Amino acid sequence: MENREKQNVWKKVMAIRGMGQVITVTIGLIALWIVFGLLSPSFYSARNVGNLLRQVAPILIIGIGQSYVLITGNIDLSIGSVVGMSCMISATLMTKGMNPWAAMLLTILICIGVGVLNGLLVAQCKLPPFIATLGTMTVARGVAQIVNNNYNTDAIGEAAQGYRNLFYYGSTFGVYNTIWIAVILFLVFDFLLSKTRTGRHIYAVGSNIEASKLSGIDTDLITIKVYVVSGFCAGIVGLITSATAGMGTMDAGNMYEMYAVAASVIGGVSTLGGQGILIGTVVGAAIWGTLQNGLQFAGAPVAMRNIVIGIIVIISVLLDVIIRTGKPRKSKKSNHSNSVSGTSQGS
Amino acid sequence: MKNEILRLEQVTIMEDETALLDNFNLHIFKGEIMGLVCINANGRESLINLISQNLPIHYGRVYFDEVLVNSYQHSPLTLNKIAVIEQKSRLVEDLSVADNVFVLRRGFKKYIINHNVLNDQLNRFLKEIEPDIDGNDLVANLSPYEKCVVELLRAVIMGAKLIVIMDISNRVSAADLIKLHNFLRYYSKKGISFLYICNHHEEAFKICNRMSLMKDGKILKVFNQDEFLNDNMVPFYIGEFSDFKRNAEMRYHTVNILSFKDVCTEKLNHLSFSVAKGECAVLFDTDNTALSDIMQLMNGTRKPDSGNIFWEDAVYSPQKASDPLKSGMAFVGEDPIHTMLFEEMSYIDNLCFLLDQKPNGIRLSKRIIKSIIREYEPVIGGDLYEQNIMNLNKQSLYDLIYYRLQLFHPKIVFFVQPFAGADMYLRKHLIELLSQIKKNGTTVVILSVNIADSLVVADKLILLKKGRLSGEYYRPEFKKFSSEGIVL
Repeated sequence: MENREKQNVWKKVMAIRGMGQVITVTIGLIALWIVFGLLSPSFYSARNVGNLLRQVAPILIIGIGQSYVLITGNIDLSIGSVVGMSCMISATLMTKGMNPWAAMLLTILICIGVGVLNGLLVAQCKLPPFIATLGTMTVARGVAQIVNNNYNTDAIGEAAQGYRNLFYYGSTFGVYNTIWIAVILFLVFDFLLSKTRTGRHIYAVGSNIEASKLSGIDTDLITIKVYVVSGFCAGIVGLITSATAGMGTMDAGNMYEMYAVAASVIGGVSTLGGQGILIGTVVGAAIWGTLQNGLQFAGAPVAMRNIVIGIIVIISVLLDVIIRTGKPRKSKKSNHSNSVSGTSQGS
Repeated sequence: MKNEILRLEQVTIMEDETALLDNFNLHIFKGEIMGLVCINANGRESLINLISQNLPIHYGRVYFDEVLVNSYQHSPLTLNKIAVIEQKSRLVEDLSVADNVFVLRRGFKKYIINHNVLNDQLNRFLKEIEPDIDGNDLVANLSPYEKCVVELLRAVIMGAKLIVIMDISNRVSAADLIKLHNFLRYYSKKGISFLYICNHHEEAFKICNRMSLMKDGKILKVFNQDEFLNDNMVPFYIGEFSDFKRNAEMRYHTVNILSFKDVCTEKLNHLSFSVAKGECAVLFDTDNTALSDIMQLMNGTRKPDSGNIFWEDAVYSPQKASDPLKSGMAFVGEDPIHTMLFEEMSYIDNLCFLLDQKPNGIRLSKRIIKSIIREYEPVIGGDLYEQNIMNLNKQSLYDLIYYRLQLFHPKIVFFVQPFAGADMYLRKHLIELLSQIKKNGTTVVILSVNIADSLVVADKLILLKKGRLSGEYYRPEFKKFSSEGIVL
């Protein structure tokens, strides 16, 4: 009887989309911690762990946004540029004398606007998400450059100290605020994704858009919603970046779209849509941060770190494809008859 | 007095000056299973769309649950409380059964989802019909039959008063179809009505209370249960398959071209059978579990766990399987129009596609293409010069697929459910095309979960049960299966 209950609990856990890969990557994360700890005992120091978590927090936040988008079967390449845009707009507004909190609010609204635009381009205008967000990526980076006439901003000044403390320097209960922000956003968005109707609709759209439409789901609205989440998360990370540097830098968020995809796919979010959980993104971001931090401790050059992380991302996506289909494949929709025809055509 | 769930009264729908539904009359009572056998597919989709949603009509009236919901004077575009279960599942594979049944239905109000509550509710329904399905199971892990049950359950929970079941025998196995029929009877007793659309009257006879025969968007006749006799159907079936009786004479083939010896995979259980050269064999999978594994073994996407496959007396190795065309094998999947044609290519490019891949290195020079055109023009006609193949009708597209095979002239062709979703005219045409391929000396293997039609061209029936061979029958023994809607 007890055994059966245990089996049921295990079955329930494993029925969660992407849980298998989360367990696998968690084991991988533990292994990395052991290896890096053996290579350099100071890897475990409280100071390094604190810094590591603070380094991971922005990646986790943009990873959450990207995960939402990926689960619907889309992608957001504009995340990094929106981070840069958020950083520059908030810092410029503050250096021009605007109240930091008002500047923060306005910045977030603009970032959400970019999310809405992405959503409209993909859902309503039927542009391929890769192309649509590639376009907005360039536009957002352009805005980041033009907002202060192609210059980084000056220091945001003493008036914004409270803002800087909230997003980066301050701590609550001995934990940096940046980490708290990431934790709170994770809890909120995880709840939305796993416990609400909207969350189910997000999975449904990514898994089978036709069936979703037939079930009465407004698939366009869901697509817009996920891009809004992505824009919002990128906006928050932009604020963290400006608070960290104390100024606006035009190239802030450079390559962040890749980090976001890396955190998501390493954590088991499927690039084919319909699968993945945010706890996986947490583990994915942690693996990314651990590799960056650990390889740095081990004295590996930046180029080597990038190569290692790139390889891990490719392996993760390959694993996802293999787990879902039994073999590497080209398209998502496949059943036995499709594979039959695929052979006859492709051979 | 019986309650009427649906009444279509003299409904006419026109599109491009063609009548999709022509003076169409249909009424379904509460708790009734009404069959609809379509001699051709004309108007079938329009009918489903019309009863799902109150779309504009040119003439007539539609009553749903005894209320006028649509007429030629006013079509409100509202949705009726009906559900459609068809060959292609409408479930979301990556969500659980409970999510699909409750959360993804129209009108689900709760925003925050409590899994335990949903599962408890679901289990109450499941206990009534299919206790083996768990609410936490991912739909992707369910069998086609279980998916049908979940779709049926969703329709019931959604409060559908009428459920349209369409071409379901191509989706579930013969054994599962019997179980599914029992559920339909169970729910019909509870007052739910069904419109059971299929291509064979024999299938409808087994489950329906009444049956309508439809052709060219018109109801030809409504049969009551006491009129469910094959003889009553004969006058309505023009161009019957009788001419095939003469063609399909029995020929015994002795040299084996393909053999399975004790092959085991996840779904195959020590499967052994053989197909002779030039033979047409039907692999009839009564459980709908083994066919996908057989196809994957043949096209190299799977290796046997144990046992051997022999191709022309040599072991069919993974190397050979990775390039089946080189071994002279070709495959035609289910719904080949969508899976085997290249919309962007012209007719002639599509026709020559396999020839271009032929391992003997034939380069398709203009001279060869001209000679192909000369050879096929008398058979195909003007369609051969079509640049946009999507302008062609369904029959011409099937011609293109089958002529492509003829041109390639493989040693063996595997067809997956070739008759699925085809109306009577198309089925007759497909039988002719299959006969031509067979006549050219190509071995034909038809993989199917429904043997109706397939046996018209078959020399041998290989029956599979639970992934292993259950029996082999040659043409003289096919009469055993006459109750399955087979025209011999």
